[in-house]
Amino acid sequence: MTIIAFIVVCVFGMLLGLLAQPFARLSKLVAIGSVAAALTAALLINTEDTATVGEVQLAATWFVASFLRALAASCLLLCLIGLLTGWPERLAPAALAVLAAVSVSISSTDPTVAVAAAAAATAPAALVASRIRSTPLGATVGIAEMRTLALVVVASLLAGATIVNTNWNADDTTFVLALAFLVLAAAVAVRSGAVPFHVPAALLSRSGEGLGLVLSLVWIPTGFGLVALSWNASIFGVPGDWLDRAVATVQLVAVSTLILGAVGAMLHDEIEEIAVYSIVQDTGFILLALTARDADAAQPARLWLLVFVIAKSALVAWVATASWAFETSNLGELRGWLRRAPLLGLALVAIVAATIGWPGSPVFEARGTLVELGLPEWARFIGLAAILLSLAYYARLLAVGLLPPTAIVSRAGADWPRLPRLPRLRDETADVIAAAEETGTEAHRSLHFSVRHRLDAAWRLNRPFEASLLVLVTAALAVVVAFGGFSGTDASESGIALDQTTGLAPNAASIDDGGAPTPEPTAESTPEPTASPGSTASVNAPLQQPPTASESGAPSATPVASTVPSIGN
Amino acid sequence: MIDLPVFAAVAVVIGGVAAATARDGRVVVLGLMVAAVTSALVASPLPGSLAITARILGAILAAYLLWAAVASGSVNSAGSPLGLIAEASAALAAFAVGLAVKPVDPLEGPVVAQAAGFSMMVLAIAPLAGRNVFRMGVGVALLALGCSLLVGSWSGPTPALEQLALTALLVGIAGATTVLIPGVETQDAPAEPASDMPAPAVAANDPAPSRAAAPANSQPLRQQEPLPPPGPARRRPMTADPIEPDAWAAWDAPEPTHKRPVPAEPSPRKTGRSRRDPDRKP
Repeated sequence: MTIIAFIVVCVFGMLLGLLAQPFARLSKLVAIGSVAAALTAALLINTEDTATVGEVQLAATWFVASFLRALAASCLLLCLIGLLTGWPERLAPAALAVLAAVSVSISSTDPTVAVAAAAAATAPAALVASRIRSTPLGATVGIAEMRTLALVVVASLLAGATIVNTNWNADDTTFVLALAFLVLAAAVAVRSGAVPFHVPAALLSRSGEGLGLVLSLVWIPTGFGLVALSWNASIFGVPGDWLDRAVATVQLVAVSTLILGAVGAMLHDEIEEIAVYSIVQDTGFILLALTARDADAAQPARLWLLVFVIAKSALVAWVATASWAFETSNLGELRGWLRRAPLLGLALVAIVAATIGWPGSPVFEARGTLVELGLPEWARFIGLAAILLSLAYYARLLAVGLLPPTAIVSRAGADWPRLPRLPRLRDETADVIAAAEETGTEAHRSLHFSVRHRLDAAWRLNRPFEASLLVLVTAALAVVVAFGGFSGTDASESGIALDQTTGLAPNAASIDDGGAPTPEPTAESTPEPTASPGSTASVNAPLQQPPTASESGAPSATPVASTVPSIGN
Repeated sequence: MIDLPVFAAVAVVIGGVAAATARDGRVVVLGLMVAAVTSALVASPLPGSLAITARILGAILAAYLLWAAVASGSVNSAGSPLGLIAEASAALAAFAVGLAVKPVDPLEGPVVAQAAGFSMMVLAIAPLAGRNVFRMGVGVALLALGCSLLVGSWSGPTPALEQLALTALLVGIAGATTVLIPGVETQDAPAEPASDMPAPAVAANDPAPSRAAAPANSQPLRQQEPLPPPGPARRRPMTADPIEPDAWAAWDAPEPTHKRPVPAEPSPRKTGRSRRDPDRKP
């Protein structure tokens, strides 16, 4: 029931956040409280928990819990940064709506429910894209958002129906599979802004979204990508000419994204655009995971998505803080920023480390594995090129920060803490007490007022430091996860609920139990599948108890055939 | 005797035609609501009463959200560009095709669900091809309903949780449409070309919402009066909120001032990519 509790908390938080929108202070309080409650609920998710709604089972695996915690923690940190740098009005309600929908989609054992919820998770992006709706740019962004939503809805619902259906009336059923693969990949590519679908993302970066960018470009695409990846090896792993052509098309898009995304980040001068193109470039790895069609790509892909969520949230937070602190987002005017904001510099280095890693680190190996499995051998140099190009635009940001500062940067305050000098404080305290004795008032009241006033002033004076510190915390969180902390590497072995029904992560329970092997289910211990309508009956089988190969009659190398009916049977 | 799914499928198509072709925004919303409510009934066997109730409530909520946008007067309802006759004919043709073809054999659900699904998807094409956000939202909703009907026809009865997810999706689409509908003042404004190339307009270059929110007919900055100097008016200053003089007096000597005299000339960034002097000869 803990997963249900999480969903309920998110839904109520979203409703409360929307209702409180007209009241500025209350809406901030409600938003922060709701997101904090969602994070608490996510932390309390029991990784062996299941709940049944109707005929469908919701199962919280280790990775599901980790992913929801990462999303909720990123959201809370960004909201706190937003309190200091400029409140993103609708980010928290939209994020809570996304969290609720994503939690349903990645914990559902029914493919059609998963895709419907994943499609529903894309709608809240409109909430943050609507801030500038009264401008021509806003109208264009709105139109792009509606078309993206239309594509995601069609792709997800039809792909879900295609995948669970076995009775296609076609000579070559791989054609149907290829179509499903293409529309799913297109939905992932369009939603995440992959090249050549990057124009809406670029427009979004110009629209002053600030922290809201992360919702549309990071959180929603990763949730959708997780669902799409769950069929990667199991359903689309079959050989076929049509499928090979579809995969080649997606490979082309992925390579374009990896290269041109980095080039875009190097060519643009606004740091919002640089961040957006950086995000776009890294979504190329999600597409590579789709093209891999290999069970070995599942774990690296999940780990990459986990790191991607936090690292790119940190990057967006870094951009919002830097542009707020220096009152400009133009890189030319940000010359010398690193001298004034060393904490932000440290955060940027941490973001780079979390995103790229170094040889031997889990995130580096995950990226390498995705390149190796997702691209043909002759094209694997693309992975190295992507790393070098990424380093180039990050180095550009840092190099600009080391140059002599511009007038704008010099005028801005530094992000190190500024504290009152204690001797003067003591002197003033004595003065307050003396004055109180002279006037006959209560000294402690005056003193209390004075100290409170000073604390308030100190809090306000140190806002740049506080914002930079929060960005640094977010970046540090990304580094920890990228290097295997918080059991991210182990959690990514377990997969989402749909992975387990499709046979990609059958040993999630054993991983969750600290590596103890799970006893192989026997015919006696395997309960009958729940009464599920139509052809989805087999995928609604209870979680973590996949039928053995001998029961399903399928070879053990292709466990999916035992749980999800494949086309052409 | 005609079954309920057949009646419901016909009602779905009629509602869809009304939603796609009507000029009056309220008729559009009513048509969409009829289509959404009846689409839950195009199934055999019928879903549970709770699922149907959820779908009906969701349809009403989605219609209410769109109705609120219509009532605000910001919706320019120009009707279908193809016209009622053409849209209805296309919908009927798609319905007939849906009755005739069998991409899945045997179908797990009623064939009329497939027919109604094809109709709705055809009806959604014209709104989605336009640039009116309200119409596009209606098109996306029709598309979602059509896809859900196809899924029901191909994969059999829909589980209760999927009904809830579809309800959330429909409400989400309506909500997204409502918040994305531009204000009245920009309904007829030419939209910015969907290009990633640098545009001369300031709004395209500037990430700051205050400048992005410039009026639609704003001129490039170099043709306007000089902008005020950069500073707290545009973004929040980094140092601190205004603090009462008494509070400042309690402090030590103030921090080394970072607030240099504001330059008289606007910052080069203010002019974005048009910072080059227009009068300067190359």
